[in-house]
Amino acid sequence: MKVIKVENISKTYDLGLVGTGTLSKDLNRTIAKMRGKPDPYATLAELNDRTQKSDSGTVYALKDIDFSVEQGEVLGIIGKNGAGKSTLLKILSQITSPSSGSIKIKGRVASLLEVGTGMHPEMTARQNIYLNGSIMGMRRNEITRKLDEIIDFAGIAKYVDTPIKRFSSGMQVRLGFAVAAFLEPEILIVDEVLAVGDAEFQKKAVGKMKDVSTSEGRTVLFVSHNMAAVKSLCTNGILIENGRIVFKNDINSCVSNYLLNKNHLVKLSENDFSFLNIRIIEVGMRKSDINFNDQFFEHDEIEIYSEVFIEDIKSDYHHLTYQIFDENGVGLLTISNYVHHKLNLKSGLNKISCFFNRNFFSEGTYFINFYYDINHKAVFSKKDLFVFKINSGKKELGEYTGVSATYINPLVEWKID
Amino acid sequence: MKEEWDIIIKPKRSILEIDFKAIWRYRDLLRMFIYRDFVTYYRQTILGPLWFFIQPIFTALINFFVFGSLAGLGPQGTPGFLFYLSGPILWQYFQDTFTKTASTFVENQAIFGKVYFPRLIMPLTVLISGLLKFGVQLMLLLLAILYYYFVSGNWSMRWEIVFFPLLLLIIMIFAMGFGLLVSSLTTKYRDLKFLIDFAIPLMKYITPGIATSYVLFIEKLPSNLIPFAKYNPIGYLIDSFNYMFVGAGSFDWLTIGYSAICAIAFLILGILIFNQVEKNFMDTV
Repeated sequence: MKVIKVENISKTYDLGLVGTGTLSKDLNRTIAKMRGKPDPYATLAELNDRTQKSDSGTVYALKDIDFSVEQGEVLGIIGKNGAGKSTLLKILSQITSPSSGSIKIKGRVASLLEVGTGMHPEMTARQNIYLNGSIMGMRRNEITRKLDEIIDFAGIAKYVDTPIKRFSSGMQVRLGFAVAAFLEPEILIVDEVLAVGDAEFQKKAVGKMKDVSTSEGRTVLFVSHNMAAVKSLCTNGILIENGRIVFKNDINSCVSNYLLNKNHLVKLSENDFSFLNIRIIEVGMRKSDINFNDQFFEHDEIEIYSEVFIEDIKSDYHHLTYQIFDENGVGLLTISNYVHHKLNLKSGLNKISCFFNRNFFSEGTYFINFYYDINHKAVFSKKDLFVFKINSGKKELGEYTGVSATYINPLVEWKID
Repeated sequence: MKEEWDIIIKPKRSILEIDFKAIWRYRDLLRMFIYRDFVTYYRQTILGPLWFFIQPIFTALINFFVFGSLAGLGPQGTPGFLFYLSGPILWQYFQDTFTKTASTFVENQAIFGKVYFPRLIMPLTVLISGLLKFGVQLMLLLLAILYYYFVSGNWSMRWEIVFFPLLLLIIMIFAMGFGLLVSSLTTKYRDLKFLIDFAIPLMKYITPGIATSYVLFIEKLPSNLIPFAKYNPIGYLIDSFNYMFVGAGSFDWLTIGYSAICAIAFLILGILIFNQVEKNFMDTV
């Protein structure tokens, strides 16, 4: 049974000043609006490609979005910043309206674009549960019924009658999420709320959301940049780019498709490691010296390249590790300067390369995890740092053309006695 | 089979499509918002709710001094202090309700941007929680009236006070309607906010019933300004209020009727426009 039907939604925004620029157009538009007609100047709009300068004064934040959601489906919406995900959620949760198209929804909707919306710092936790619950559309008696569970889930039993301004920010977030977790809508719309809170809480939150969708059969729309969370929660996905749906499928292929759009160089934020006197500058993959935007073929020699700046190595032992996984999350191999060569890094800038022989990888999509250790203690780890795809290479006539049954076909040393 | 949908989101809604049912569904939220205003208003102040009293008393004293003593505009046969207490109390309720309603979208954009509920809940909250302060101050006025009765034997209340609830209703409708109308405009034109912030307190002084009673006010006014005073519905309401409570003013069904019609017209227009603006204001605010 379809519970959400999105039909040709578009959303346009005016650039620069509000208004068309002339009074007559403004009036024309106002009259059209008042009669419930579409905006006569909406046709001027262009697609939302921010790298290009626009002449027309309007952009499409969303264009012809069309999909439907089945009951019990957990749909992940992914895309880069500014692709239009949040606009879509805002339209679905009735915060703003579409410029054209329509959405039909069956059942009660709760949207969690933020946790703890409207909570007042001067009020106690108990009062805020009621306030926030009501804002989310719960009835008073409903909240009373679930009050104990909410307090328990948030883990704040001791502080129920303390004003929440005395709470740590983590506690406030937990409280907000706890209220949201006990909403009982048929459809739940969630935007990145899991990005807050500590690891333990995030686990709890993801777990709760999974419960909601699997055991209680509710429909969830989930937007996040956390691919691990998206993959573990969602069944299906849509990928939005420049305001259009470019891909619609099961979540795994959707995520691979999204990550593939990036080039093979990841700049890592410098601030993360300043306390360790190291800076992991970038990690990338290439086949020539400069170009990280290469396409890879089976017959290419491929280099994984990292740049790490170490202020003073002292007698510390630094090493880095790459792990390569296939699309299904199966671990394929680990490469580390510890395991293979006991190669230590030096003070100053380290440009670290490791090379794969040609024909090492078969056609397929691979995910790289990256770890950095100092004295065998992990200081940084990043899952799915980037994804690369190996295309099938040139084949001689008559050669086997199918996809190799195995991922890795290394060149090894042979000896025949 | 015909498909049944609970929510249909469309680009525009027709001008008369106002979801009063949704407002009723969210009545618990209205209650919580009022409760929030109630418990947080004077948190962490030393004098707490005493401020409810301090404000009008000092306003009354200053007004009494400036208008009553210096300008000699005080009412006849009524203690000046009482007069300068009553008018400003009602005016203050109007002003608070109006200015807060007028900035509904701007003040609440954080919460409006994150969650949907019928936006009219916010102005309704302002309207009702303002009554609390007004009610407390009305008690103060009654105390003052009793005090003057026991001290000087002067009983200032008139029997027309039975119509006070009606009067209050009209002023509520007026403040909300006018506020809604302006709120819809402030989302686009922020200038209005500045205009309101200084124009409304100034308007107080050209409203009959604050500085002096309606009759005296018209008398003193240059003849070319008289229409401004005559068409001002708030003036009639405050003058009637003064008449009911402190016996200085006038009570006339004609002028009350006029004010009521203005108020209802503002409210209808205000709700219609507010309802149109609320759908898309996040894009312009």
